[in-house]
Amino acid sequence: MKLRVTSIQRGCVYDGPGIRTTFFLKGCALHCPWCCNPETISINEEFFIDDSRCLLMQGINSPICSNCKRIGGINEISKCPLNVCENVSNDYGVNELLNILLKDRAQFVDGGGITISGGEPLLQAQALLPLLKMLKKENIHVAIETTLVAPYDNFIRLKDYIDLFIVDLKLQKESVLPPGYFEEIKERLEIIRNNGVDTLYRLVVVSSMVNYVDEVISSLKSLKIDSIQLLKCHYLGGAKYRKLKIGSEDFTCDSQSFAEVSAKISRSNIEVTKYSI
Amino acid sequence: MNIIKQLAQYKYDYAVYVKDRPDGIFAKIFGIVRFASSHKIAKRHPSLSSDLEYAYQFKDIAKLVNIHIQDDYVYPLDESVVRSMNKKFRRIASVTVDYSTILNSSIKDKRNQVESMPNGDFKTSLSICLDAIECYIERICSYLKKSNNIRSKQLLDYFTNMYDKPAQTFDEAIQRILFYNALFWQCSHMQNGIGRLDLILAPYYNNEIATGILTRNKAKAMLWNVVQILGSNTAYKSAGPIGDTGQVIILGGVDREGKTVDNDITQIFCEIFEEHPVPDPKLILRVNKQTSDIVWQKAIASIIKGSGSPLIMNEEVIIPKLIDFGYDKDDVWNVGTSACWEPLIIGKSLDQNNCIPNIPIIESLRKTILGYKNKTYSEFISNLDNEINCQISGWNLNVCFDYSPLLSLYFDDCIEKNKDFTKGGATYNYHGLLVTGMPNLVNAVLNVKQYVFDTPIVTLDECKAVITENYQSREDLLQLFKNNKLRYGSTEKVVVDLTNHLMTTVGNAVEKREMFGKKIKVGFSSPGYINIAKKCGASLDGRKDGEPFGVHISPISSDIDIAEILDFASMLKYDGCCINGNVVDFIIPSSYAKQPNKLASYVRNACDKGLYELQLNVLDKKTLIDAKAHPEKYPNLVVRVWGFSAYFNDLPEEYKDNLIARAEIYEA
Repeated sequence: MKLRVTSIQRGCVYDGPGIRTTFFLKGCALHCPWCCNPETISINEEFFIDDSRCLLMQGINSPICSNCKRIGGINEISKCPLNVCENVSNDYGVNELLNILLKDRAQFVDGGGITISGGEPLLQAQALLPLLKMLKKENIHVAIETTLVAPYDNFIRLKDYIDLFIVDLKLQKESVLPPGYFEEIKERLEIIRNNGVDTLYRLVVVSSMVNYVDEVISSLKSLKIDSIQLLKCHYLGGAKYRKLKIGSEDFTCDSQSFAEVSAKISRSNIEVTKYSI
Repeated sequence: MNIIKQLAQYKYDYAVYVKDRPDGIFAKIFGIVRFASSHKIAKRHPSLSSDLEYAYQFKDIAKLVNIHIQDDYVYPLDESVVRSMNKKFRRIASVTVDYSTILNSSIKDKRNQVESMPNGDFKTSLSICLDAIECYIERICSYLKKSNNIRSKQLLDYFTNMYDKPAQTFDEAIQRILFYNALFWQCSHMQNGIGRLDLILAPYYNNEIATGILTRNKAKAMLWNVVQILGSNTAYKSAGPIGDTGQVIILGGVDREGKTVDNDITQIFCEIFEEHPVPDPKLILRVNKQTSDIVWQKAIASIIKGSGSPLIMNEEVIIPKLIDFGYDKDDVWNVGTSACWEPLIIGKSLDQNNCIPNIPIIESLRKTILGYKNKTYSEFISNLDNEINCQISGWNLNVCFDYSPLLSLYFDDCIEKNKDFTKGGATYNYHGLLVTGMPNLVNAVLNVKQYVFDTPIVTLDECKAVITENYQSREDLLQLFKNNKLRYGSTEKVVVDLTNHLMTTVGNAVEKREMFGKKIKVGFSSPGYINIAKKCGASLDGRKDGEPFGVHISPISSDIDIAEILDFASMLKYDGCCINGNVVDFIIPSSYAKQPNKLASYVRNACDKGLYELQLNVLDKKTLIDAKAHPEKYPNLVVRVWGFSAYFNDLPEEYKDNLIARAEIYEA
């Protein structure tokens, strides 16, 4: 069974302790409008179409494009030599992916290791499980960046192979959440805590949150969260939306709102670490 | 010298010593007159042998320089005093005296050595140089005697000791180093390296810390003074853009016994550069498997502050390569660099590692495309190899170096051999070449392979047209060639194999050449990526006529991140003579700067994989663009250019633009 991976990033310093290799899986049940990795939402094969590279779109006549499908020829855009079209993902066999991930093994000191992100990695639990077993056998620290929004079985299947959960909480009013989200998260966090697994909590801060930060604090307290990483929402993924031909909205959080939300959460005795690009 | 010859000599000296010279005949004449009237010139003595001429000029200089105390020390460098140069000679540059020999001996010791030499002009020139040094000391002592303060009395003792004693204390050692350093600059030698200060000052430091005479903080204050003094004449000392002084302090690395130098002074220098990110002097840190975590962390902390110091030199890779090349295994412990990064042996090397115009290797490809049929890819590569051979075999290596009896006094073997430092006296005379544009060559060949031979969509005739017509009406090919997924810096086998093949071809061609009867080295990191590229036509990597080359071992692509380029660099073969500097140059976005411990670990592991040398800039494109538009907001913004650091505001506009463009690529 193969894993559908959009990206493998080496030398990551923000995805858990130490230095990490982070790989991003395709597929997510949520469609957060500020998602900066829109190519990871759908599990299906997709293509970035970068029209800025297309000679025809630039009005440049070229014999290279004479047989392009865009002008009635037979050459698929996926074969464009100017890389107008790029598959957003690759399907990897477990052993193949493992070899790539272990390239930087020597860097995984001071708690470093592999981080699985996405998308929602729990959705590919069946394909992930053998990889996680191999990583455990290799004594590699594994972190997972997850919303925990996935079938229960998927969560149960993988939980014992994870050394660190980085839980992305969806407390923004703009989130489109399945019914029962909050209770489900609460229950799964309890399971994680009972297992004694390290957990980090993350929350993307959008500007509107300044209007309901008390509710956010209440939710955090209800989830028994006493420290959180706040990520200032950005729009660096904007170009990807355009390449996927998907509409998007800029949810960049202004600095003042970010500061206000951070300060208020901090004052409620929840330890805050701020991240902004 | 008759008046015409004197005027011609002024004109030449004006060109040598004045950097920003105005255009226009009258402006030039005015400039020359102003130069001649505002400078004290140690005139030439063309009737004498070159060694004697130099020596007498040095003696004149000793009488002309202004003496003063600067930041607690006497640093007798007087920019208004110049040595009139013989236009046939190239100035000696980028060498490093072993200051420990100066600290552990005296002028009397030197006189005894010289006395034992056979009589002749060379011996006489050395004696006159020692007279000149004594004249300096006499004048300095006279100056110090006039001041009635404790510091002057202390310095007076130090200078008096120079006649017949080794340096006794940490402070005295610093003064002696500064004194001799000033002499080398004053005698028109350029890019004078400082050497291994953490090694040579350690005995004094350790002794005085143990006895309570010195504290760490006091030593740090003194070393900060050293940095300020050395950096106070940056414009005068700069060979090219301001900052390119070659004043390199080497830290770390093994000592003569093979033990890693890793002490308080190593850390202090890193701290100084973190606290005061100045562009000059610069630091190079020699690293090996024993380099401690604390030194790594302090080095990274300094780099993150933005001075670009230290450059990392991986001696685990470099030292064995030097031995393979021909340096004695008993000498390589003392490896230093020529200014930027080209390895040499401190105290023993003349090794002029960048004395010949750098070779724009892309020109070989131009000739290959224009001059051959190239029916198949293998034929094309074979023709390219042939052209590389021709380019290197025909490269003009003629150079005539200036003499220096002064340096002959302080570099090994000159006295024993009875030969000037530059005329066979030095222990090592392995000079070096630099190749520029290797990233562009590799990318161009990859394009030819893919688009002409593997999946033909471009003909060789179209390639010829692109080269000769500068992509005119071929915007499609410009974009095609820039967008190949296979790029220099990628760890794909085809890219690594091609790069190694081309480096080996260059190395093999260089091995057939000699300079002064000795083999030469080649390196692939060159300062000429802008200036030499200006004279080179369009190339098949999507580069237009005159556009800059890729820098050192760096990707020209936003798809290649630091992890990949470090892997790539560690997969390259630096065999044979390919040892004259191979620097990975990368700009890290400042977000990495927020995780210094992780960055230290990352770089350290990259060295374990086989990296040669690494220099890092920590910059944001946004900051650079703002600094270009509003320089007044960024008076202290320091950036790493080639092998040296400079204030961003001091850089020519084209270097600013180049850094901005590269920061943009790397941020993506």
